[in-house]
Amino acid sequence: MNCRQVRQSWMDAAPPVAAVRHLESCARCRAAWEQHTHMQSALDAWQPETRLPPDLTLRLRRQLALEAKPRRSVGSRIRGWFESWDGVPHPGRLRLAAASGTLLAAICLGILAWPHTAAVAPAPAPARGVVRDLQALNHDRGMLTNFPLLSTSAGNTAGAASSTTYAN
Amino acid sequence: MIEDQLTDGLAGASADVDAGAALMLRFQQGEEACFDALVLRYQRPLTGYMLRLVRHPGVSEELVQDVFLRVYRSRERYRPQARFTTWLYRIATHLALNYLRDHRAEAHQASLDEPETEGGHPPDAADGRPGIETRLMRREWRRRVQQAIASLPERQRAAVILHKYQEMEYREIAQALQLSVSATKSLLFRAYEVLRGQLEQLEAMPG
Ligand SMILES: [Zn+2]
Repeated sequence: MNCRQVRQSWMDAAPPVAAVRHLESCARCRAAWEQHTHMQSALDAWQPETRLPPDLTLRLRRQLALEAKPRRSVGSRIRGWFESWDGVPHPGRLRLAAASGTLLAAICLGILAWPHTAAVAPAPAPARGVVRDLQALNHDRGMLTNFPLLSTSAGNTAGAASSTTYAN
Repeated sequence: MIEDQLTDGLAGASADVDAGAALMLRFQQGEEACFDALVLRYQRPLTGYMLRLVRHPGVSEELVQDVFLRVYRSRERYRPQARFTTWLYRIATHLALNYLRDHRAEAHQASLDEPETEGGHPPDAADGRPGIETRLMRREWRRRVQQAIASLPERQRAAVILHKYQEMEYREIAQALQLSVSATKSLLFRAYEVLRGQLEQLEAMPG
């Protein structure tokens, strides 16, 4: 056994006889063995205090119960709605027909009651409105140049004047 | 999912059914109480492992809770292809190493020592407890051991703790760390060499 193999064997619970014999003839490994036993006793003495939470099982159960709460999909909601018709005293397929009929009636009512005004009167195109606003702004600027008192203080005043115009 | 990899990865290992595996199988069959029994049985060793590895009581508590949640969630997929603890520590090591990787920047300064009571005990107190000076020296001594272990790279640290404190065999440590047995032996050897050097100057524990 070479020195590395000998030192590696110290990690085992029971090092082989050859490793023990090696120590008799190798001063470096003897010194390393001293350090090894010293290290082992130091590690043995390191016992951090473990404080166990008394309610771990309870906390786990609570967490698992939260996870178990079903997140209902649209499909399962519709299925659930159909299943709620189970209480109705209709035999077999009649129950399904009654549920489907009610659903269909609700949809038809919804369509009839839908407000039609929005479709009849289309909103003005926003782009056109913006163009009109810009044209009005230009027109106001042009008007301001006809008033010497206002036009002396350049753009700022013009901006303020136009903004006042638009606030009204 | 890691649990899938775990159950698959352990194929070929010894199929001896130990106490943990027996409980897990009964839990799998629907005996919910067996899950609580598993928690009670492995909570302490698992907390000790996490505490040594992450060195923060609050974090180790959360990680232990996470390990058991994963055990619960993967009950359907569990196959007793190795010792139950091998499977358990593989989940634990995976979670702990992930945590350490994600929080490398925040070096925990938390001490794992027991809190000192105010005033302490006078030297040679009549109740036989060590005096304050001895206790302070012990605390410093423990801090140095702790620091030596903390200085190891994360995988080496996990390997040493599994080998030294959880008393696991090379094969089990290899499975927990997802390494070959020879790679695990080399990893452990390097770790012990570093520790040997670091703890060389440390005198025997005071008192
Ligand atoms: Zn030698």
